[in-house]
Amino acid sequence: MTAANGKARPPVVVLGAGLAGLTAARELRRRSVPVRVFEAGKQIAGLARSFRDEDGFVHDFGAHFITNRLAAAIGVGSRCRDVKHYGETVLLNGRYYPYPFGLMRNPRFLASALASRSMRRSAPPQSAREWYITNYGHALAEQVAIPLVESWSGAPASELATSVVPPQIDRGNTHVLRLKLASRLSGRAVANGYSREKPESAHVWHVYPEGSLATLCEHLAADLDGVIQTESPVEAILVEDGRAVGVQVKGEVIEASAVISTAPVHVLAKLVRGTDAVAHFARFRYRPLLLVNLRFHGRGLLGDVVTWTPERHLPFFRITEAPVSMPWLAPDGMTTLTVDIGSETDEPLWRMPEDQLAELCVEHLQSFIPGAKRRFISARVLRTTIAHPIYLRAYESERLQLERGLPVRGLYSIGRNGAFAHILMEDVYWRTLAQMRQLVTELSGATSTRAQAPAPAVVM
Amino acid sequence: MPILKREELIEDAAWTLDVPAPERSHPALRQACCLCGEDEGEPVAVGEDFDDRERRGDSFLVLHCRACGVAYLGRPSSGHVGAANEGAHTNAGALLRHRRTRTLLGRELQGRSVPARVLVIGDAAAASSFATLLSERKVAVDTLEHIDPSSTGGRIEPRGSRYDVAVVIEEAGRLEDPVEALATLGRGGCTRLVLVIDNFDARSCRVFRGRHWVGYDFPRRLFWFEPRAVRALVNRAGFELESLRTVSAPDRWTRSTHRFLRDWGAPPWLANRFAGRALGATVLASALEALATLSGAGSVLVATCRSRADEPTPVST
Ligand SMILES: Cc1cc2nc3c(=O)[nH]c(=O)nc-3n(C[C@H](O)[C@H](O)[C@H](O)COP(=O)(O)OP(=O)(O)OC[C@H]3O[C@@H](n4cnc5c(N)ncnc54)[C@H](O)[C@@H]3O)c2cc1C
Ligand SMILES: [Zn+2]
Repeated sequence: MTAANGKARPPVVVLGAGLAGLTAARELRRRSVPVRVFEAGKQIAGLARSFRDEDGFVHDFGAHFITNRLAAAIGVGSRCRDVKHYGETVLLNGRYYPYPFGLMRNPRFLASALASRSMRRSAPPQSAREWYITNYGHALAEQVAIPLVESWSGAPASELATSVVPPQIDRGNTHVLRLKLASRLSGRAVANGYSREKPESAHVWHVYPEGSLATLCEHLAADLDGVIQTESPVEAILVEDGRAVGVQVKGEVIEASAVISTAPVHVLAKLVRGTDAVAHFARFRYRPLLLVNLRFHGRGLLGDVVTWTPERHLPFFRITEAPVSMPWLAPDGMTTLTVDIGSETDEPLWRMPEDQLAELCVEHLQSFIPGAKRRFISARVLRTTIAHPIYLRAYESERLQLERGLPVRGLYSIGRNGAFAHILMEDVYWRTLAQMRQLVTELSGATSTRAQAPAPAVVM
Repeated sequence: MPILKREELIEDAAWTLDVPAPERSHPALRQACCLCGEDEGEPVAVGEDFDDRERRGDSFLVLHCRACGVAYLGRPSSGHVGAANEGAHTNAGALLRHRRTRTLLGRELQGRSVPARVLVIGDAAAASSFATLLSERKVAVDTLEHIDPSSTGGRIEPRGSRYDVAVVIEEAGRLEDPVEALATLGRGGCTRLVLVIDNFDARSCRVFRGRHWVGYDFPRRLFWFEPRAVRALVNRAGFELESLRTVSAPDRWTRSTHRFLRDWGAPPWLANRFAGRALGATVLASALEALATLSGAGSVLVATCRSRADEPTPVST
């Protein structure tokens, strides 16, 4: 591709070789736009990384579940296995309630939900707290939704914006029932509440790539020979006259016709030089998470694949037993529980040694997994400082601005952390494609109506 | 930078990845609407090659260009090129078993004057059914069984002869560049063109569109057309549309239902009710299809076109 003055155009530079960065780079390359990817880490795949340990357990860094639609779009459909079952439960006072309808078995929750339906709504809710109370009623909000969102975010629900509630939650009971029925009849884990970009249907279900989840990014990277440079963190993004013109890597300045960042926005804010137009993103916060992977003898130790618990005395808020969905993730007769503990990095939990963390978890699990101590084999702890964005009201207006695009021409902030959006991999993929089309249009000089692809509408 | 911490952790753990060598995407095939060239289609289906047990497991995405009414195969797997010519399942033969359809097609074909030479392009069953139909009407027929969508660049090369009429049965969706391929026919002297093609806006398609619609025939087809897209297609290829109607093909219902039931693990006694020509299923399908056809949403489209020979033939970009 050449610039308007006939000179060869410098490449588009992509920061990060996670799903977003690799999708962006492959799409640009497919459209004959020269591209270079710089990845800070030793390995590609970012949050979609996984590994198999010496004992045959597969550990996904974060993500476990993708869809057959994403696999087909990326081109790894033939290398995926169907996931037969997926389900969530809520553990409360020692009882499991299947999510979402099982909660209605509790008469207080049912009454609370019904009362909220008949309540007259005055002004739109201003905080997550108000949203939950208005939509779920007091009992369900106070005992389930609010404690969960607070552990997830590490902030009081009254300080969280309503955008913390994923929009797909509003798709309605019939939609959920239809998908659950399809799942039961087809014997596949039909995706439910997974995607906001594209419609969910009986034909979109969870799959898992052979090998591990990292296959997705490996496949994308296979089309990017000589483009990706690992162990090369971008140290600075250079902006001149309101336009991104290059990056600095290992002290060297690399000219760029556009810069696409998949780094968390608070990191991006610190990387940009030559303007303070994005400096305010430095105060955006992400929730650090400890993922304690515990191996046990036995399988099916919990109510379902994912167990949420709003019990405030427990140090964790979610436990995932992925081998119930994907038996191949653990050797026969064994299982892994991934226990999610939200903790700020200056809290004692964050610094707790691995064996103590494991002991703490097993101690608490013992109260609802009979023989947990006896079954326990070993543990491995993963820590991430950027598990998910915290939707604070304090910067909600700036977050909405970010959705509309950055105020620097030629600079894009995409992906889950770049967009500061709690979106899953399929949405990251579709959004990135749309954003790259927009970028190519801009590069080819066509007049663009938008600075950056807006947050796409939710397809119901 | 906090992000680097994670990398250090990974280094400490010395994790290994157990991933087979990744396959490359197939570079030769474009994944875009064949009319406007745009590739911003909405994903409407994820399906499999239901007829091929060996290849089952590979999955295919269909994207829909809302602007043009064309659906196209997204990111075909590397197996596509080889598969495109193997056992395409048009079942046009079944279509021609219906007396009404035969009469209609015969009428469409003959037009105002009896055609001198006819070229029928389609799978073996379709071509021979048509040849029989036309020879009853004393028309000279040549058949061309399938066009290789890739080796000839998607062009139709009618062996040096001049044909007055070309009947293209379910082939347009298999070609990499259908506009150019049909334009070649016009340039070769065909003054009339009859296009028989699955209707992407049919009632039967709408019901099974997410996965099991028999018209997909993964991975052998690249494009599917709504009526407005057929209109645009022939227009772009240098033909004038004289008539466009939908005809009834109840087998689209039964075969799609059969796929659906098999795919969802229904007991064989139930799935098999929709295989072959089981009476109950056929009656039900015929009723549904009759209603659909009445409202213009029948399963198969038949377009009759006349060449705009005097005008320069536009070629797709
Ligand atoms: C606990 C957890 C569970 C999840 N579960 C699921 C699930 O089940 N299903 C699902 O679909 N999704 C899930 N997700 C979300 C999914 O993991 C992410 O949406 C997706 O992996 C994000 O990809 P990304 O490319 O946007 O970001 P990342 O994967 O974070 O990639 C960003 C990359 O940029 C690099 N980088 C950062 N700064 C720089 C710099 N300065 N220079 C160069 N490189 C830099 C990083 O090293 C990283 O590799 C989960 C996420 C978490 C945290
Ligand atoms: Zn189009």
